[in-house]
Amino acid sequence: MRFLLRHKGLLAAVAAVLLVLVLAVVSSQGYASPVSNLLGTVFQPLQSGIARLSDSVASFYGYMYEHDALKEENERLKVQIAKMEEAARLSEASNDENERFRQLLGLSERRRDFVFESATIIERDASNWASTLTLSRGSGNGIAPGQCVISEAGYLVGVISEVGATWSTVTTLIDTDMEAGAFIFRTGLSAVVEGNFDLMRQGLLRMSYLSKDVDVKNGDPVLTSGIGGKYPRDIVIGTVTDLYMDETGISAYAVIRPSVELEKLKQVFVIKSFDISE
Amino acid sequence: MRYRGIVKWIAYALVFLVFLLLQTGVLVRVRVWGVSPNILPAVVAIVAMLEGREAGAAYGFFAGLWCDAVIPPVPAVHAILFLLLGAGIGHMTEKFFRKNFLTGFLCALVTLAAFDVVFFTVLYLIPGRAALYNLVLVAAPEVALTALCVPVVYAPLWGVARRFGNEPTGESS
Repeated sequence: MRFLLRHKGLLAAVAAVLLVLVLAVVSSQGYASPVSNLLGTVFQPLQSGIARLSDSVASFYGYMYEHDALKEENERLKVQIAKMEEAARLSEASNDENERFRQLLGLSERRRDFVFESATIIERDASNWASTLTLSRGSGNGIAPGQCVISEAGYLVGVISEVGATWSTVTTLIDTDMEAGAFIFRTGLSAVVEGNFDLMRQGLLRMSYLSKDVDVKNGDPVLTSGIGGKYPRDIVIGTVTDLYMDETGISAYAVIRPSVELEKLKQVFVIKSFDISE
Repeated sequence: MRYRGIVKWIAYALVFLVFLLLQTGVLVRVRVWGVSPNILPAVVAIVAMLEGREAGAAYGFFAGLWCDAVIPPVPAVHAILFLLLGAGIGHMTEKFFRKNFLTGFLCALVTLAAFDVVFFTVLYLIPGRAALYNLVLVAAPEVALTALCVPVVYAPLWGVARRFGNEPTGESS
């Protein structure tokens, strides 16, 4: 103790470290510490302005340099839509699976129990080590940690992980902290989807704890199961792209491509409350 | 002299806020080799080089508090690491190195690399959330990209030190 008192700089450093550790514990329940809340609230208007400016520049860049690629994608999607409409017409009469796909559309009509709060994205992927978004809404708008976040198309984006007065942080579905109960739409098979560091850098996630002879095909939609009550049921997560054996060799895992395009998101919807169904 | 000192630290703080806005609003959208540059450790390292151990530690601590507030996912980590790295860089440059661009450049990259190693080890490697090779896959291109940005970071900080502080002589003590 005398050593610390003689070296005031070291004493200040120890005090500072203890202070931030206390603040970290305070914020461990998902609500930002008073210091983070204050700094984040002060910083948020500046971030919003920069985000709008960056979006404008990115849109201009996209138009100038990706025009040909976008035109080609547009033509390809038109052909795809035409094929899908044809397939829907042919199987409309007696296809149970088609009926379930139609039921996925119109999420807000089907799930009138959802209470939404819309928010714009003011920061994305601020770190190379995590996949997060910062939103323009916080506790003052009824946002709370653990709430599910979806896109306007009803695709799962992630979950609220930290909340300030006027801002909140979303841990996206591809982040390593992400875990949710899910099921394969075609077969009803239940499993767990979770983020993985390797897959996160490719914009993917995995569905774990599948048996070796599981009936899974490329393109199978994956939805939330609602088990546990954390996420509403039937929120679209993505589609299966590959199936692999896991590290133990005992079970398999499927690689899932998210339906939401995180890089292109500008606005999301936080589900503040829903009826739990399992 | 005291007035100049206050203005100098206000100027350093404003420069940091500008770089924080740049990092979180613009640089995160620049993706090369799957990563974005990270200039914030470089800011702390250069100020620590210019101002010494204690000032570097204090600047790192307050800069880290700002980073923890606006950069997810883990609170406290930036404040603690930037405090320690600021003190370390300030101490080493006081004793052994000249205060010039080359020293600042190297300190910036060493600080970023050290930050990445500690951050990854504590938050990902030890809890088993990622394998060691992921550190190299992310940190190496991040350091390389950030190296391109260091001159842009160095210039205004050097300007503040020259304008308001003791003129950096380029000599170690």
